[in-house]
Amino acid sequence: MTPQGSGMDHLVLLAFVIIGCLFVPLTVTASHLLGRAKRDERKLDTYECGSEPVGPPWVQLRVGYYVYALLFVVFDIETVFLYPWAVAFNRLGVFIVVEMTIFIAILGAGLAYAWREGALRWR
Amino acid sequence: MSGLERLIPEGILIAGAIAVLLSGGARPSPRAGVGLGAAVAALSAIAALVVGTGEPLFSGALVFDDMAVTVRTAIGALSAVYLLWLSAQEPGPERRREAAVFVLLATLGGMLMASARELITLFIALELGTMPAYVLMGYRREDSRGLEGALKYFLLSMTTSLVMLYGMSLLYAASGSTAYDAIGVADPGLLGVFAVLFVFVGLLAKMSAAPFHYWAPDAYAGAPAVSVAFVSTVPKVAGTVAFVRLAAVLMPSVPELGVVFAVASLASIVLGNLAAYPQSDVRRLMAYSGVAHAGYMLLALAAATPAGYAAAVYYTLAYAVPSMAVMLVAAEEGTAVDDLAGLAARRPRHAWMMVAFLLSLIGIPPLVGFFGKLYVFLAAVDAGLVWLVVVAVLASVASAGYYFRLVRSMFFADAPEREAARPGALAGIALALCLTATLLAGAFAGELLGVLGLTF
Repeated sequence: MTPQGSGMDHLVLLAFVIIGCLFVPLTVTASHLLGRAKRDERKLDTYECGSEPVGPPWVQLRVGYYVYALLFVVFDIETVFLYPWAVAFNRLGVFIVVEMTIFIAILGAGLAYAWREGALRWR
Repeated sequence: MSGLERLIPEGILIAGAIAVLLSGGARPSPRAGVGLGAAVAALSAIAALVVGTGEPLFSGALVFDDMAVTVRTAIGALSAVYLLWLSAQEPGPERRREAAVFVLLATLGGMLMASARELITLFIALELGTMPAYVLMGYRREDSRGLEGALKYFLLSMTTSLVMLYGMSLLYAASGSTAYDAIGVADPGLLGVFAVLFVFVGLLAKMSAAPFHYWAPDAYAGAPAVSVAFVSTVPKVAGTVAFVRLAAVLMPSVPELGVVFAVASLASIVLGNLAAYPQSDVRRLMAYSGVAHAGYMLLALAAATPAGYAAAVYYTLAYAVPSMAVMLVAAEEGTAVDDLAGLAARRPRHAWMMVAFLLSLIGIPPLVGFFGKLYVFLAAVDAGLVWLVVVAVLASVASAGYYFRLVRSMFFADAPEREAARPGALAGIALALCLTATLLAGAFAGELLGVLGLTF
């Protein structure tokens, strides 16, 4: 292991850490000191992109969304792998075909399980 | 591509996990699924032994030396015994078949951990070994205490993973490589020292060594004993190998690590053995006993000799088998120490097997625990850590007290009238296999250590 960079690099890092630590307290204190403390009801309300919030924030979402999101991520990742595979397909030969088949088969088994457990049915 | 046959055990585990997941019809029998899982794990253990040693794969990311073969076989066999036991239990409300799948996947991660000699490979193997553990800790979904334990385990384990990953990234920055052969060089510099410390703080926390042990008792006490039996043993064996491999590479470049390990060892042995005394829950008691045993393992590492590294791996194997067996009996009988009351009258054979497991954990000859401790102490004395060994021996003697509380409860406490647990015969066979290993592994201690020591 050779130490890389000079002492200057570390000074920059130190300055970054110090400024980073001071930034938030300074800005919050500054706005507290400079700003006028006029708190009306609208200002203390929950920030909701300018529109008035409706109903309680603790609404329950259907658990079905969660399962769908999970399955979606699985196949999203699969596509991420499939694109470079398709691009390099010609140069890599039979081995890569077998490998990708195994990969898709494993994901397929997961989908088959989810299907059998009824996760794909919207109830 | 030649050489891939060395990954046959891992292939068997993947294919087997999928087969168990998809086994049966629309209403599959959990028992058959778990039994299939046991067969898969046993097959992978046999495959690991048959395939044997060989050249490294993937530019040295996975090695297949004697230690890898020994530990992969041991992990496969332990998982097989565990699943055999699980297959004989009365089906509960939880999903047993899926549990078997996760056990197989954790075993897969453990096997890869035992072979990994590259940082990214190690990290992925480690996560593959612990992710299923999160699920196993919380798979009784209707039990809110179990979920709390699982969440604690998940958050703390993730935090330690991230600390370790940060250390790995610094290690890469300092050395320009993630291969073990390149990360340990003569002059590490300040960055290198910090990198190494981060990596080992993460690993120490994963091994539940003091002062990073605080998560273990709470997480274990919240989780079902069935899961704790697996999670607190099999991944720990694999983790020790990863720990030992990294330490063997990095200790020459950062000699201060020896002091870190010695301090952590002392703290773990003293704190673990003392804190186990007042516990009334077998899971908490075994969690603190696990802290103490992590301490003995670290004592061997602090020696920083090939004999010490081999002794550390042998020690975790010697700890894992009886510890898993004790937790399995607790899972059948109930998790409070008082639940064991009258076990000697209800199930005398189980009570006597428990005595053997507990004696091995104390370190009484001729059981495997004695030889584990013996070789750890020998390695440490050779390295000049005499005072540490004196404390460790005294603490081992003191540990007899809380292990014997379990014995007293089984043999001498007044038992309330209750139905004896009636798992299938296979559960008894699984425990008998653990007993055989506990009795016989000590007899082959010399050979095993010789094989393990060949790696260094």
